[in-house]
Parts: sequence; structure tokens; C-alpha cells
Amino acid sequence: MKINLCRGVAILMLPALLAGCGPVDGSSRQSAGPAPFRLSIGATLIGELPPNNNVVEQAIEAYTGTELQIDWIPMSAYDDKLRLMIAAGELPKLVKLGYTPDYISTIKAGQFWELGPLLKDYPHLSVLDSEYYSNISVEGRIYGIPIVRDLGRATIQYRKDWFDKLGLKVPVTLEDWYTVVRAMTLEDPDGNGKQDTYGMVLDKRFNQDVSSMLTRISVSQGGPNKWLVENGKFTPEFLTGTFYETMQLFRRLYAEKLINSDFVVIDNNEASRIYDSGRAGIQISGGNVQSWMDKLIKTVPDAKVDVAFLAGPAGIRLPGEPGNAGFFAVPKDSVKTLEEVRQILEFLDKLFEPPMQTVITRGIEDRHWSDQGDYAEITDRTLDLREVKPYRDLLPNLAEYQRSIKPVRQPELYQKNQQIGKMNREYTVDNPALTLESDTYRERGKELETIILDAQTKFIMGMIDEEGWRAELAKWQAAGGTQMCLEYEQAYSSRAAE
Amino acid sequence: MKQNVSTSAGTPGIKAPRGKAGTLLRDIIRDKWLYLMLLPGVIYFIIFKYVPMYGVSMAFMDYKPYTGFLGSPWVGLKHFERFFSEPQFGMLFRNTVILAVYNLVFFFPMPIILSLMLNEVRRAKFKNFVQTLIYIPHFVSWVVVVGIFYILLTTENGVLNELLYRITGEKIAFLLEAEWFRTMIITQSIWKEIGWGTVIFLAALAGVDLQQYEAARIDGASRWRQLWHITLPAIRSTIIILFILRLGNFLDSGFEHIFLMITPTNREVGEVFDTYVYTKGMTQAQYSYSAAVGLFKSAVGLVLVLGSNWLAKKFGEEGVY
Repeated sequence: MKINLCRGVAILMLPALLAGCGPVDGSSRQSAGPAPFRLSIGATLIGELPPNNNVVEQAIEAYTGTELQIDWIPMSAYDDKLRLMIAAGELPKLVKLGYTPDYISTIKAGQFWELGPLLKDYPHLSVLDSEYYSNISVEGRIYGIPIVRDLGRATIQYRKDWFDKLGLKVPVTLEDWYTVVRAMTLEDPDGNGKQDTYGMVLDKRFNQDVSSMLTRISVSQGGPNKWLVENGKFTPEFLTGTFYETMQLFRRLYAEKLINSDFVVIDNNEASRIYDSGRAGIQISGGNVQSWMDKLIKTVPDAKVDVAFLAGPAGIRLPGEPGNAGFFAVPKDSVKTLEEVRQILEFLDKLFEPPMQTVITRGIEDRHWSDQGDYAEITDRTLDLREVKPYRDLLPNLAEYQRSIKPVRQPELYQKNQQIGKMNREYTVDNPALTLESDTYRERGKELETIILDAQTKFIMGMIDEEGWRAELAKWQAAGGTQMCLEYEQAYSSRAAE
Repeated sequence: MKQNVSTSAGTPGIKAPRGKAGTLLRDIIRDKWLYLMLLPGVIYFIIFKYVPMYGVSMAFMDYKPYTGFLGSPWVGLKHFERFFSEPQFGMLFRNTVILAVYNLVFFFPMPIILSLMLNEVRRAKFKNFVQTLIYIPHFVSWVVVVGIFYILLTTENGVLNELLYRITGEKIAFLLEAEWFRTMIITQSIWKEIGWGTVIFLAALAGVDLQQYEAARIDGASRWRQLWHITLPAIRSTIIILFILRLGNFLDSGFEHIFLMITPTNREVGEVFDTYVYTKGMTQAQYSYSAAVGLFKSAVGLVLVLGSNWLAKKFGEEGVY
């Protein structure tokens, strides 16, 4: 009887015991032979999950002498999941972070290794443009390897066929924008006799982050990129006249039903679908216009799309972006020794070598691309999307900037967009507060931002008038906005003094 | 001691126990198999409900993930003070309480009414069919429910709005207008959970003695009279217990649901404690602060449960315990 009871208890306890002892990264398994360096990576995934142990991953493992264990997490869930992992202290050896207040404060709390002083030993990591590093520095120190992107990406992308038909030209002034959007909404550009097109379609993130439509247009008209510095004084963009005029443009568009009335509730995918199905005519985008074209011709075979610089009355002007899609950092929770940090840096450094860059951006020769003399040709676009794109999105690649690997022959439109992207760098207006420290921002930046973003939306929808807008501004200032300006000013002047 | 025996009517056969501990031990030995069957449940509660509760201590610390529970400094009631003096507190409290009251008033009675109606259905096959059908929405996730309502109600070719437009010539921005927010939330909750909510009530209704109906019919009672004098009293204690349990979650507004429905234009009525905890804890990594807010919510729930249970007993009902 007694034995039975013990056994019963033991069985009941079993699940609990199992749950308690489960290893975090399964490090008990060991492969035979000279053990490769095991590296777990917390990775964002846009699109489809790549097949397990695919050839691209094998090639990277073979070249760098590692055994990769990539934890693919969908982009939309990544930040939430990573924050939980940080809170629990259970992290992969390499994680992708964004330059946001909460990550910055965990970095400041000492949860990640400082990499700056080590970089000089790595030939490829050390030659990266210093701007890429300074844009992710925390209190002047570098804790990560940026996943490099263009510094100025915004371009105007529009339906060339509609423009030609209606006799429009690429908008320069705010009035131009109004005219163009109005014409493409009301004058039936697709010629089906129905009023079923929009000049422009917004989604609910239209005024957020670096890709804010309001910021982009306001900058093109001469406004600041998020913050204006004048004689050491900081003013947020939404207190400038240019920005207000930009908002008024959208208020007018909304009131005259020239943009979609449900932009507050639709997400980015929904908006893209409207563009891709040939029901909207102009957008400002950081992506390559070719992908719009590719999707569009499936529904509208004779559609024509073109791309142009974002420009205003004073010429080409666009907001500068951080130049990264996040950065890789090494958590102290999972990496205990400096030696291991160096192994990880070595892995990252090797990724910048031309053979690896080719694998990351193009995949495997004769499987994903073939050598055509002076250019490479992508042989199978589906396979490319499935097996190469996840790595191209995740890992640092400079292929489009440095001519270290064979260029792919891309359609003319693609090249035009890329050319503009490259030249854009000359015309970017930087965000002066990007790397400045502010306690208020860290503590309640999100709330302050919400006050303003909501107010912008309400103003555009005509729910509040100018007086209401001023009241919201006052609310922002009282809730900590003024304090934040002061903190930025201090940080700015002390940095200038250095 | 005597009282003890008289109240513990559930354990028959106890005669003049000598001491509490002795009784307990003897009980355990005698009913060992029953206790063994209880064990998994007890272990479950200890491991998954009581052990994690040490995390509540986070609300009284300046918790930093890197330094952990042992290394983070204690700060007493700092986070609670901040919460109560927060300018947003009034708005959050009002929104949460209004939604909670709406839930009690409009949502809670719905499953009862529906189960009473189902109970009157005499054709068993039809009743089973309907029962199965109305359970289905419960298994649909909030994302999908909100998506369905979006398709129906959006101002850009939304089905209902198009219909409305044909009839009245105007569209209503159900999803944007602040005054529609609460109506939408409650309607969606009812749509999704009403069927599932009938499960317990239908079980209670199945237990009503049929002879009573028979007797009532002989006495000439109408359907309404039967409902009023037999059915409702029979399920009254179930209603009260569920009501008390519901009060325990009084301030839970259903994070996912609200989060999906909030837009910049209805935020001033939509922001509730649950969404606030998310913004603070998850997106701004202020773990201690959001733990304090969560703890406050639970404390309110506990007080409401104890209070209502006490009241229920006062009025001669059974209560939860």
C-alpha cells in the first residue's frame, strides 16, 4: 500500500519536475567531432518560416564554424516576447534589439556587453561608417552591431499611368499634394466609370515613428525631422508652422473625403492591399517601388509605376532615418565570458566577408542564383523568398551599398529606386534628439507621444479645431513635454561641450 | 466542538472528536483514497497559483530584470503612490468601472435569459442543435471577432454601414466614435460569450425536480407562474454564486478585446487598467509599477468577493464558501 502511494505521488509530481528541469537551450546535446561554436539567436521573422536546417543556414554554419540555433519570432510579436525574455533573464546568446527607451534602459542597467572597445580587432566591423554606430550608442558607448539600412529611404511612389492620363505632375508644394490626391480620387483615373479610387490611403500608423507621413511631408516642405534645434532650444516638430500646415492639408483631404475615412482602424497590410489592387495612386514609402509594381500588374496588367525624390519648394529634403533595422546585442545572462563575446563578434565579422555577403543576400549559387558573367541572376524567386529572404532581412548585409558581390540584374524601376535611395543620403535632415538622453522620455515618452498622435488624428478627422489642438499641446507640455525639451537641451549642450 | 460537528454535515460518522489535529489525521487515514484524488488539484494550485505569487513582491521593489528579485531594492508603497497620484488615474478608474458595471448589468443576465428560453424548448433535438451552435463563438478568438465587426461596420464598404446609408443616407462610424465604444464592447462580449455562459445555468435547470412543475400545473399555474415560482428559485443559488465569482474579476475588462478596439479617437473612454498595465509593463518595461497596478486590481476584486459573499450569507444564501 505504502509503495503504491509513493509511486502515485511520484507520478503526480513528474510533470512538475520535468517543467522545473527543462534546459533553456538544450545544451546537453553534443555533436561528435570538433564541436562547432553553438550560437542561439533571437531573430525577427517577416513572412514565412524558412525550412529547418536549409542550405543557406548550412552554408553560414560551415563558413563561420558555428552551429546556429535561430529562434524565429514573427516581427509583430518580437518585442513583446523579447521583453518577457529580458524580464525572465532567459535569452539567446545574440538578440536583435531596437533603439527604443525600454531597451536602452535595460542596456543601461548593464544587461548587455559593451562591444565598442572590442571592435577594433575585427576588420569588417571596425570599418563600418561611424554614423551607423553613433545612431545606436547609449551614453556614448556601443553595445551592438547595427543591421545596416539606408539612412534616407523616403521616396514618392506613384501611378505613372494615372498621372499621364490626368495630366498631373509629381507634387512639390502642399497645394500640389492636394491637387494630385483630389484628381486621382474624383476624376476616375482607372476609367471604369465608378468613383472607387483614392489618391492616397493612410493606415493607423500613418503618423508614427520614422515613417510618419506627416513628418515626411513636413520635412519636404522645410520642417524639422521630429525636433527643431535653434540656438540650443529644442522644439518638437508639431509646434512648428510647417507641420501645422501639413496637418491642415490632411484635414482638408479628410473633410472632402479624398482619403479613406477608416484610416484610424486599418492596418498597414490593408492599406497595401488597396494600393496593390490598383485603387490608390500615390504614397511615400521607404521600400522599393518594384515590389508595388510586381503586385500591381497581377490585377492591372498595363499599370505603370514610377518613383521620384521627396522634394519641396526648397528642393529635395527628406527625414534621415537611423540607418539600421535594429542591432545585435549580446546579453550577459546567456554569455558569461569575454571569450565567448569575442567568438560571437568573430561570427558577426565573418558575415561581412564577401562569400558570406553573397550567401546572405543572394543565397547559394546555382540554387538561388546563377552567374551570368558580370551580373548575377536570381533563378527562382519563390525559393529566394523562402530560403534567403529571412536571412537577408535578419543579418547585416551591405551588398547594396558596397560592390563586394556581383550585382543582380534588376528591372530598371528597381535600379532607379535604389539610385534615388543612394543619392537621398545627401539630402537627409537628421533628427537631433535621436541619441540624446532624457529621463522623461524614458519614463513617459510613450504617453506623451500618444497624447500628440491622438490629437493629430482627431485634428485631421475634424473632431477638434485649432483651439482643441492648442489645448492638447498644452496638455502635452504639462504632462512632461516641457521637461523633455529641457532635458534634451541639456544633453545637447553637454554633448556639444565635449 | 459541538458546533463543529453540526456544521460539518458533509463528513458523516464522526463522533465526539478528541482534538482537531487528531480528527484530521484520522480522517485522512480513513479517506486516504479520496485525499489522494484531491492531491493533483492541490499540487496544481500550489505550483501554478501559490508559488508564482512571490512575484507580487515585485510591486514593492524597484525590480530590474538583471538584478533579479534578490538584488532589487525595496521601495515600499512608492509605486502605489505614483499610481494614485497619476493624472490618468481618474480616467482609468472611471472607464474600468463603467465597463465593469455595464458588463454586470447588460452582459451577466443574458446567459440566464437565454438558458431560460432554451429550457422552454420542448423539442430536444432542436434544443441540442441550438446549444451547440451558440457555443461556437466562444472558441473564436478576439482578433477574429473584432475583424468580423470591422468588416460589418467600417465606413469603407462595411456591410451594415452600406445598408444604413441606403436607408438613412448617413453612415455611423461605430468603430471610431467614442460614444459607441462601450456599446461595441458589450455587444461583442455578448455575441461571443452568451452561449458559453448558458452551460452552467442549463445544468442547474436540468436539476429542477419535474414533479414540482407537474404539481404546479395541476394547481393551474401558467408558464410564467411556473417560471417565477419554480425555475428561478431553483437556480437562484447558482446565479448568486456565479455573480459573486464574477465580482472577483470585476475590474478585468478583457485586455485583448479592449486593446484591439482602441483607436486614437476613442482612447479617452477605452483606456482601462488592463491596457495601462500592458503599456507600462510590456512596452515601457516598468515591471514593478505595472505589478502594483495589477495588484490593486486584484485587491479590489478580493474585497468585492468577500463583501458580496458576506452579504449573500446575510440574506440566507449559501455563498461561495
